[in-house]
Amino acid sequence: MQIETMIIEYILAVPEIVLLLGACLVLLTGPFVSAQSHWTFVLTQAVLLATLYLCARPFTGQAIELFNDFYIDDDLSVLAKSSMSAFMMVVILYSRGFINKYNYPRGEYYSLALFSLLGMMLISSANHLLMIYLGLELLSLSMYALVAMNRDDSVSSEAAIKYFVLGAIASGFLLYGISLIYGLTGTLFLSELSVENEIGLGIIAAVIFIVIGLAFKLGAVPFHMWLPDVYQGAPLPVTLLVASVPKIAGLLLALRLLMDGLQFMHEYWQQSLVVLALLSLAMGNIVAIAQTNLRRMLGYSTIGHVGYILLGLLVGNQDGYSAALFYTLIYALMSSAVFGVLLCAERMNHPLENLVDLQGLGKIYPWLAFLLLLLMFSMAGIPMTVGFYAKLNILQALVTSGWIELAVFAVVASVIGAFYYLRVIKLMYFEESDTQGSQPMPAGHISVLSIHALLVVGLFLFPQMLLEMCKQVIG
Amino acid sequence: MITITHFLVLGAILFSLAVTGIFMNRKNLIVLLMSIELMLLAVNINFVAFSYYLNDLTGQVFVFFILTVAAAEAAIGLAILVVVFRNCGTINVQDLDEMKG
Repeated sequence: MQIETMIIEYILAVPEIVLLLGACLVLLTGPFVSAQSHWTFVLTQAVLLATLYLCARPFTGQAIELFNDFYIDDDLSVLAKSSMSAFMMVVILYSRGFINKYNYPRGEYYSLALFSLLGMMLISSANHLLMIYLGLELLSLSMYALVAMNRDDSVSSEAAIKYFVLGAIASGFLLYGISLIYGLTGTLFLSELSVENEIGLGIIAAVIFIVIGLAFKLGAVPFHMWLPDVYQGAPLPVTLLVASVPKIAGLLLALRLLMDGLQFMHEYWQQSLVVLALLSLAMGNIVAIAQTNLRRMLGYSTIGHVGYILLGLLVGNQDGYSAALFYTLIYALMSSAVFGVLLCAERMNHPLENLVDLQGLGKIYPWLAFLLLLLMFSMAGIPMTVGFYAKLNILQALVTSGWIELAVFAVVASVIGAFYYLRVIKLMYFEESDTQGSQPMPAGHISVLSIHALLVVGLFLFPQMLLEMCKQVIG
Repeated sequence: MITITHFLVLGAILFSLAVTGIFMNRKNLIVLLMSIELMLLAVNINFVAFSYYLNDLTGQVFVFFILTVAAAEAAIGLAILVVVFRNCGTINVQDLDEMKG
């Protein structure tokens, strides 16, 4: 009987075990193959495909706790893990050309990406605050190293040190909150957190510390300082990675902590999230208008999107959580596609670094410009793209629980935000440029990118399945 | 008699010293890394104190994990610091302002 349960526990953890072994294998393969070899790339994709295959399973509605209840295997973790592995495959695919072109030490990029994915999977399945901490650190440490990967670039190293310092402060705040929670509740298991007496000052302080740590990691105003710098300074494949998959992990972190653990403190963390969401929406959308660097502008746009995700979280019921989950998945989809476009242009020696580089893109590379147009519409939340449903869901959840003022504010903020998304389209189609597009498009990259970007229209026409899934996994 | 309150006050003082160190320091990145370590050690004091008074070992095990992760974090932090010094020629916090806006 004992052995049987042990075997079952290990079977349920097989995706993580495979991923860990695969990441080590990729790390070891790197030094032994030649610079132009495809082996590390193929191996990485094989590991990711195996992970995806092993984690994807139909929803059962059950939660199984394993490894002395440290680890939880439920529908939410299944959805998060499979979507993260799938996004990671796309990210690795887009990055490959850039990594080869600039001769980055590729074994490092691929293995660090796999290790960060392992950290994110640990967060998604955590049922104990120690697991949350370890998963978060595995994710963050890999990310710091990735951002600093371009060792000869001063901007990149500046971004890395800022990211490192602010990330470490975030971990410190989170840990201080966790230590207070441990002292006041006597346990670190998320499902057992509760207080016997009435809610005192200590536990409120603990919740505030945890929310601050969370806000740093998500990049909510006023703890957002690292985000635009990392977007601008990091090498483009790393920006693509930072902008896509970890957002899902960030939401899962929030869901595990706030929904699974601290639901009994809902009215207290709700107030702090209201402030964070309002500031993020206003600041992200207004400051983005003033940017001239495209990647920095996308950084501020991320902050605005984080504001929307926080709006969904703060509602604090099934509608709100599932709307936030839907929004995050859609956001990761859009953001990885936008950076996929940037990487594709970079491969054709037409880097889109500043906004002026977009001038005349509609004439030079019409198809690429069209894909970017769809993505910008989707980010702005214009109908015919799935970004509209994502925003609509959040607003619905807000209005049904009586937060009408917040919903109005969110709509105003996204109207302001539409300005700089539409400016990108204006630059592409209504400005002239004398540059000629001579390079052929990289076939593999552009075909995946086209399917990826057209998904924002496809999901607008058939959003029901994903919406249902998001509802179902939030029990 | 030393009670748990004493430990918690010590932890809180160390933690706020660390936070002040991070936000007031405008000179040296190494001081910043030291403040980060101090922050984690303040948390450790909290954990050990709670663990002792709750008669529960989990807190002390947690401290071991924090110490290990802090070592890894310091290694990465110092590595990034070396890269910054090689590229920018300075580790002065105020001089790291190439990106703005």
